[in-house]
Amino acid sequence: MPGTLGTLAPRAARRRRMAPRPPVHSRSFLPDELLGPLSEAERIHAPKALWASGRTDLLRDGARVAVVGSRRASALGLARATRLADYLARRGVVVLSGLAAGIDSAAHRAAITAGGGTIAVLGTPLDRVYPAENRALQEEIASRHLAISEFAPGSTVRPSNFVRRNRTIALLAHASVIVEAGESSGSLSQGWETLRLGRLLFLLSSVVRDPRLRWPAQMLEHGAIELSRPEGVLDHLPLDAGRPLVAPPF
Amino acid sequence: MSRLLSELEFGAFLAYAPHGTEAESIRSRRVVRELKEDRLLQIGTTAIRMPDFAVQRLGEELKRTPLEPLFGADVTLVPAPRSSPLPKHGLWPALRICEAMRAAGLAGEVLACVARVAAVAKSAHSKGQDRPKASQHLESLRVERELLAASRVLVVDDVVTRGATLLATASLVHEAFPKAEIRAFALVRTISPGDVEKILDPCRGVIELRGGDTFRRP
Repeated sequence: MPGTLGTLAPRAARRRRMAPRPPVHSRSFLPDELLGPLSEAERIHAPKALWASGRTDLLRDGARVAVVGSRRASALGLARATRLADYLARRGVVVLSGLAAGIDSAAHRAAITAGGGTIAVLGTPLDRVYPAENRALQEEIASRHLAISEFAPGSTVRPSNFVRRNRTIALLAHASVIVEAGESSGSLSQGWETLRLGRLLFLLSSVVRDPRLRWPAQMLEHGAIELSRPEGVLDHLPLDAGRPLVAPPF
Repeated sequence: MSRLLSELEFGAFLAYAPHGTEAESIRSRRVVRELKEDRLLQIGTTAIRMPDFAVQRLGEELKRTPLEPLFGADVTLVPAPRSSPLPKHGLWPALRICEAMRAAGLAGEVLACVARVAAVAKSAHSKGQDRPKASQHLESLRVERELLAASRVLVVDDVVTRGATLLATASLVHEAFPKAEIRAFALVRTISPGDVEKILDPCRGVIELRGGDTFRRP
């Protein structure tokens, strides 16, 4: 996605902002070990391995909803992300996001504040932080919640990481909500991957009605759902979606 | 201008209540979501995907249901298109179900010959007046004519609401192959408003076209 590449800080500045941090206690997994055997459609863009730090049980518990959007979010967008993540977390939904600045960070923080669980899917290896101002948040998530990366510790951070990371968020989530995103936002790759996987993709009414944007109409045409209130997510998504059915349902 | 069939015989295996509040209705919604998303169940030590599980149950129950005449080695399955165009490498639940049914020996072959070229609104969650009519479905679909030489065709979808998608798809197949016997099957039929008594509720019935609208019985 052009936006993902274009809006990254220049290399020198990026290196300063992405200072190395002390080694984290992480383990690598095959995606199947964390998610169960993948389907054919899931396998197409699935990462080869996932490094995880924290509570992997968050992947075996309640429903997981990704709340994603722009790094340069408006104050209203941040408030909407906070309200949505708070609502979901209070009902036991695990909130996923990409730990980027803006909407992602607001979603993680709101889930933590609400006493819920949150999963950060990083575009960097677990031993790097981007952006640097999220260091404390990343450390908190990696110790008390769950931080996941498909990039091996010590590996180089490339702009293409972030598109791959966005697809991995779609893979890990039962449903996704795009809160606010411009025409070139990285969140769009996450949205398209969610649609490809046949999963629930919600677009907040505020983006659907933004006359400057063309992508919401395209995604609605491909099966996305307009979301006018946080409750709408649970009209479609069972709260126990994270636990596989163990008794034959019929 | 394409023409719609006035009537289509159909069968369904399960029932689902999009708005019901009873426990079985809530369970039925989860079944449908997992069917559409090709999700994994863990029954005892066996991990099985919902479309495979549902088709396996269909095979086990078939003789006790009125659905048996719909299936057979001479039947060609045609998956109904999704309500929206299919993204590249995207999941197509109806095709997934067709392939599971062929693998279970319920039909001879699968022919994905009808595609959606423009979007229409989703049935189960759109309000009555917003639901697309069969004629709108028909306008948004295209059939690959040269592929099919089957004498018995079963148009298959994951969920049937009013039957507009099934009727439009069957009409296109009929237009291309007027001599084929065409029937329809959905793994799940929608019960709305209200609740489902049991998810397992096999039935056969008719989808009718009256004044441009489709009506499903039962």
